Amino acid sequence: MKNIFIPQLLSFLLPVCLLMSCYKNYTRYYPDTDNEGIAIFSNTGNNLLTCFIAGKAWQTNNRATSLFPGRINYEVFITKQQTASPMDTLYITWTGHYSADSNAAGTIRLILPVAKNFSYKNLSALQGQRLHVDTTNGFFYTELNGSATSAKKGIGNIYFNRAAFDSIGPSSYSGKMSGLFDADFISYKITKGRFDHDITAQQINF
Amino acid sequence: MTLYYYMKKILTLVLFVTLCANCCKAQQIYAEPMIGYQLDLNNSGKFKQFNTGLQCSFTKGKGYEFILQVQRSWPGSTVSADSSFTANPSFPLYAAAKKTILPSAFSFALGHRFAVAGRKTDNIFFLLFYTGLTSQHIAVSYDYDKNNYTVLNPDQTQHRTNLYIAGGAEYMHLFNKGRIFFQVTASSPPYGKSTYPSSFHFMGPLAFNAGYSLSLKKN
Repeated sequence: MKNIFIPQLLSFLLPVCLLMSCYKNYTRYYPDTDNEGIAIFSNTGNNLLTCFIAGKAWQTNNRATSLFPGRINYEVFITKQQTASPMDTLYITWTGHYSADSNAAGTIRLILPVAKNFSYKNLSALQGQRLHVDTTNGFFYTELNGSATSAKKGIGNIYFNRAAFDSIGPSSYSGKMSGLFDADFISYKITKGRFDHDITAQQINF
Repeated sequence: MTLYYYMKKILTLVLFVTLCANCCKAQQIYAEPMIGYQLDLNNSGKFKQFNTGLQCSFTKGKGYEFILQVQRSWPGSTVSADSSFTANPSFPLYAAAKKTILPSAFSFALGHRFAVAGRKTDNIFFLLFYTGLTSQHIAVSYDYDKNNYTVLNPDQTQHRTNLYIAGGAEYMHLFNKGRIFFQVTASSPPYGKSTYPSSFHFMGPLAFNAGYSLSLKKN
């Protein structure tokens, strides 16, 4: 009985393990030869953000999927949160880690107050725009592990080289977003930030 | 060890055996310095180069010659402008970044020269076929404010060494003690797949070369 059971178990587990190990990476990292540790500035949908935080290279997690169970890990989300105040809040949240330490997980977030009727069309209108974020009109926010960064709110600048979104169904949107940013948190700075994403419907929550 | 690895080894062996066999059988050997100009078919003629080269031709009659060729292609610079941007509101959003591309190449090839017309005259037309190794180096540099601006989708220096093939036609005029020739050849880029999203490809040159044959040995 025992001898029959083990081969059957193995024949079931082996394909499952193989399926679970299949992995597809949708992030394309092309190193910037002038700035070691970060990627080039692109607008071709490489699905990453890289920057220096207090001089240390930081990057978003790879957008990757396993064939089984088929879940995709996204590196960025765009969310609009309704509030009781006259304005709602738009969050663009990047999840990543220091390049030298993948265990030092963290997030960088751009938080902007937006009108109640803010839609994907307003998001597209950011294309070509450069915003100076000074805490009165929004702010940058970080949660960084593995670092002595204490201040979480910062001022900064962001340039949207590309922000093109379209409706693909009821409350469902997709598009492209790329640009540059920098931020100042007094005790540390984010410099040479650049991002480039193909945004799917799963990443936008309005 | 891939199939490509073994194919490369086998091809190198075949080329080496061909080289030895042809060199030993030669009745006459020519040294052929040559110069020329080439433009790049793989990038719509964007890259241009000047060629210097040396061929050794091993002949065993007027119908066929075996060639050993070394060629260096010197770069002509290509200057253009890319876009650079800044998020800093103290500076203008956009600034042009001057981009200079210097494409150079070195190749070593084994060739075959088949007479197709005028074999019994002093004016002979040949068909040419080459196979060998080429090394292309496409150097890219930018001139812009690197502290405050970032180039969008920048090109980077690319280098590749791999197998290539070439073919062409040649006109040759025979003198008493030498030969002058003019040739047009088209070459493939070095074999391989690019891993960087450049705005250019590795070169597939269309070369216009001229040379002179100096007789070295006559059996």
